[in-house]
Amino acid sequence: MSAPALPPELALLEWWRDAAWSAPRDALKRAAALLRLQAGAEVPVAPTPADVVFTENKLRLLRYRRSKAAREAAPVLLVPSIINRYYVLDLTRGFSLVEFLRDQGFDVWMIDWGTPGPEDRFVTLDDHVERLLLDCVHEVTRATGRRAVSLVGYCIGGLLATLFAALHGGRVASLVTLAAPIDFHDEGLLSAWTRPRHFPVDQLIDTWGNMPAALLQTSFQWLVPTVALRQNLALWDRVDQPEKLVYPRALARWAEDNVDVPGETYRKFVRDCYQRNLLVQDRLQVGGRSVRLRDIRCPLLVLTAGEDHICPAPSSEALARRVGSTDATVFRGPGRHIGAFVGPAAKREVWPRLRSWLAERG
Amino acid sequence: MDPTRYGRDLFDIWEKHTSRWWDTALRSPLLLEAMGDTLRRSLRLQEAARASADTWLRLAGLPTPAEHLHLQHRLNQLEADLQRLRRLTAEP
Repeated sequence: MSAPALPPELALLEWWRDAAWSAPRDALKRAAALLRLQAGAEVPVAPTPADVVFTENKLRLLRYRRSKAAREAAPVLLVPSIINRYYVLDLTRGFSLVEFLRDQGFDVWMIDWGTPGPEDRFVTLDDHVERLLLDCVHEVTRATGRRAVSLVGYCIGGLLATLFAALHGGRVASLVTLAAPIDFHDEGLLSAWTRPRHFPVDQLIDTWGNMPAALLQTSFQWLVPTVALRQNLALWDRVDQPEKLVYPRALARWAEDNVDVPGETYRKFVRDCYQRNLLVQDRLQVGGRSVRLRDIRCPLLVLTAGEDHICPAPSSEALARRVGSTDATVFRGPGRHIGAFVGPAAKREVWPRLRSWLAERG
Repeated sequence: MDPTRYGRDLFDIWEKHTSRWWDTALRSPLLLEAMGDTLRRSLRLQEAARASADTWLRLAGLPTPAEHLHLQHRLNQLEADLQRLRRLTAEP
């Protein structure tokens, strides 16, 4: 026999009594868990074991160790962005694109651009493509005995990989871009902020040398100022479930570990790409040559994020329409600039596609 | 009845509207021009201070910080070139 239902006014009182007791108790428990979390060890980042195969100035070329035989596929060279640390693609155990590809049998390599010092203000965008990236590709092909590599570039790394593929087609077996900006006159806020009238990039680099990491990070936070609050709320919600906090904590650690951008690289990136949008007009000069996107004839996979506010999806997808390749695929996944490629959604939506695509074209 | 759910729903509504407002505000030519002008003025001041420090260093017959950095960069480039040459000569 069920208990008789309470009259509504008593039920409300009962709910109020329960809430009055449980809410502060729950808040105290969460605060204690948060303190324990902050006092505890940091989440390990960049967990996949690797060997440093080559160094040049601050750059390191990493080759990830494998436990099983490699596929008969071209080696995969990951080209991360130059405005953040490389290990976003090897974030933490279970959220590492490197680990995923390696476990699928690929021979995975990654460029760590290093931390530029004040003297690196003179390192140019051309140096990144024609010296550093070229040397890394040369080193990978020499070590593996393969003629060409599969380039997988993330964000500005995707732009560098694209420039390289256009200039050195014979050395690239396939090209994958993850949220790589190509058409810079998009609807994004960064495009609006960097217009010459508002942003004196020449004066800034002449005065400061390198572009300070703190300023870049602040500008990214301003793109969607409520994100930090949402992340903190999510942390509060899950603070009693440490296993669900591994990814956000690793991501937070990565987000606080920033690097300056070499001044001359930043100058050209803003002036020729954001302000003049030369790449899509085939007028961008790298190493004294014009970059023509139609010279990219290798298979191309363009991966974008539907809610990307740093590199809006149409900016990346413009590449697929301009290359000379007959094998160009575009996939727009859910999420934002980072989560779409390293977060839980990436594991479901993006990584399996990338694996199949690379395996088919290897 | 879960009061936290209402809190979350309210937060979602607030976030949606705030984000939209921020996006419009941060595109405003008025704001961008004001920020650009402030940045320009601040850079001009810093540049003047640096130029003045450089003048004093030159008068004292010392290299400027920029000259130091340039030299360091050239040395880094030279080291990389040597490394490249060594690799090329070592290859069969």
